[in-house]
Amino acid sequence: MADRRVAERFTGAFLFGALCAVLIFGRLLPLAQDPGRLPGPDLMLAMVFCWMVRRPDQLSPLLIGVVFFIADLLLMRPPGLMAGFVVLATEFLRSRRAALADIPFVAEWGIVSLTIFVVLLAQQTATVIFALTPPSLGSVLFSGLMTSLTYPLITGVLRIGFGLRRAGPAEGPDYGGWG
Amino acid sequence: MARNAGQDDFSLRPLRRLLVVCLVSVLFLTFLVWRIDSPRVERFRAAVVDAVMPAFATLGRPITSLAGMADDFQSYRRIYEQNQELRRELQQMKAWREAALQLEQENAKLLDLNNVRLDPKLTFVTGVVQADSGSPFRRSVILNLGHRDGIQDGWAAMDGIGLVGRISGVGAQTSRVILLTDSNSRIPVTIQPSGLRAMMTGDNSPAPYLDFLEESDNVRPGDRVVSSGDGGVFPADLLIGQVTQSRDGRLRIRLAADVGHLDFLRVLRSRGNESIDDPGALVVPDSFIGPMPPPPLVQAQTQEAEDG
Repeated sequence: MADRRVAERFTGAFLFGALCAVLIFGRLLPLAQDPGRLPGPDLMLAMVFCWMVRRPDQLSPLLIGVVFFIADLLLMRPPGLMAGFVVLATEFLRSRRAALADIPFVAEWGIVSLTIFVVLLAQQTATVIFALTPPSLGSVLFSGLMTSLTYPLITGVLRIGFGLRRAGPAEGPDYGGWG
Repeated sequence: MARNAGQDDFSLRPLRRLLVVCLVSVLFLTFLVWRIDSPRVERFRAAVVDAVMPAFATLGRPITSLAGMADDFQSYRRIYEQNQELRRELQQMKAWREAALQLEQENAKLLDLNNVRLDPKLTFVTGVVQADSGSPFRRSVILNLGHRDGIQDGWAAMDGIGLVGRISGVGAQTSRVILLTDSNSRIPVTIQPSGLRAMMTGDNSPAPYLDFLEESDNVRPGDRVVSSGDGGVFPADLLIGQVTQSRDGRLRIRLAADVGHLDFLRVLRSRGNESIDDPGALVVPDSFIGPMPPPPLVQAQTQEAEDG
């Protein structure tokens, strides 16, 4: 039993890391360089929250921190800033997971959207406080809106493509059906 | 319910909480260190990019070329209009070519008459764009040139026509080019017929705007903008674009380079402007032996007088 549980955790963590690598890779591809386009959704952010609501046992804070720190480095963001806020936000969701387990999807969507906006605005505030050149508030808010709009889509893709769903109550404390 | 209680107990274990706090502090501390001592952390970033890029280039090549094919295929659909357009443009270009040839001859004649010494031609290295910044708020690309090609921070990068950006961050095999449209980009420029100096400031829009322009009345849309080389960090007289006026009345620059589709970039090797720090010496002929060394003589005399 314990072996299966540990193996499942590692598979989940590995899958999460691999998906993040694919997302970073996709964003780095030199396909769309047109400046002045509206910012698209931050898929990594939506994915980590979706995963955290579904299977918090598979994501350790260290994994999230490291993955987002690497993303910060590769995507030319201030290193560590976004990663720190994302770790805080996921820990917040982790501490509320008992409450999140039983609510309908719309309510979950609302809470996650709120968290997304809090993370983006916290980052924006930090950029302003530390006198970096911040992106315009409008584009940050638009990016948050796009991210929360794609959240159901991400949830669907993760559920259908990778069988990510909530650990059912029948399946015991920290591990659940993988599929 | 017992299960939930157990879970909460797990997540609130003090040791675990301490570790999370440590992790978050380390991350924010990294940010703080980056804010205070940016070059050191940026070097680390360049090293990470350098390590990741080779694998990325290999994996990314097929996808990029597929996307390129799709782009080309789309352009087939309007091939007729394109043909017409090209013919029209060719007609205009012929007229321009004639004008350019005449001007070139005239220019050569005038240069000859004046015995002008021009700047030695800048040499360049050409590199391939491997990745872009990946963030909607940053405009930069990564080239496959680095230390081993002699690239240095601050050098200018151009596409075939105009200035694209400057090198900022060099790894062993990769370097990053901050594009002119990035909100961190500031380039000193000269506006051509009037010769006015200004600062070109990027703001993430396709057209950077002109800042610190003193007499904006003398600048009109259509004026050519070239780099001015002020401050000595950037080569002068590189074509940047044309002045346009945006709807809010602000003067902006339409870039000559096609910043949306960058494939190959040439990085100009510049060795910095030579500066003159010698105030200039007195010019005297060699044979002149006049009252040049009087001060020691006078001193000696006064010493003798004192002794005697």
